[in-house]
Amino acid sequence: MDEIHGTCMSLLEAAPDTVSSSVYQCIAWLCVPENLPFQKEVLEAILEAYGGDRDLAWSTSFQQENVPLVVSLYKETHRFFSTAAFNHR
Amino acid sequence: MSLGFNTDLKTRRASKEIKIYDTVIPKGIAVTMNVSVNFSECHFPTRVVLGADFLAMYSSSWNILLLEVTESTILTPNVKQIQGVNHDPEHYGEDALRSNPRRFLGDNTPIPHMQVWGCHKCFPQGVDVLASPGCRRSLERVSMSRTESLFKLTVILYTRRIN
Repeated sequence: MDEIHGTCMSLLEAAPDTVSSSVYQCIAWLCVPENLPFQKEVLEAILEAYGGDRDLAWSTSFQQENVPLVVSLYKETHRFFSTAAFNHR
Repeated sequence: MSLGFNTDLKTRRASKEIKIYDTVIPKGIAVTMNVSVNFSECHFPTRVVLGADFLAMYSSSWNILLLEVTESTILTPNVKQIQGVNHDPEHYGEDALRSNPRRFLGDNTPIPHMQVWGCHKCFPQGVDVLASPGCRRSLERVSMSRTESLFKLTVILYTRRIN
């Protein structure tokens, strides 16, 4: 029973102390109905930065930091959804 | 005492004593948001609230070069007071406990907040390793833009799926 409990806890607690947790929270935040307009807005901001080319945005995102709204989004996500709250070490 | 602040940036210090978990952030302490720190010039006060793991994340996640940790650098492990600073209404205003994705628009400061453990597992050895030349080179290769890219991809991917 201890082993099962430990395994379950590991699954639940896996990497709660990393940026991934913030990303999860960000996705959840974007999924809330009242935040869907912002999701649309931020997508449009991304596409605008890449001339409307969705494939270009997808393929070159890892090379550039050129969308201020996304920068603001991720900074706020890190601020508001601090991973420290999940950590007990 | 120089904390290496870049005065061109909007510096934010703890505006009041913040108690969270087992630690206390004294008013005015260097656990400030939006601060650019040159660690080679840094001699932290004795009640410093930075931890080795935190410094690791600090450097790797936000593309800050960790130059040196001096003998006067007193580090406390497992600091967890970050949330207290992040949610401090005196720093962020009345909406500090609400997510406002436009909050940092036009704010070009390199570090909007503090967040611990981000790189903990990458650098379990702590500060001694972090201060080594090899580690510095590794840290230099990590770009802050990776975070933004991750979020961009997340938004694109998600909206692809729902559309």
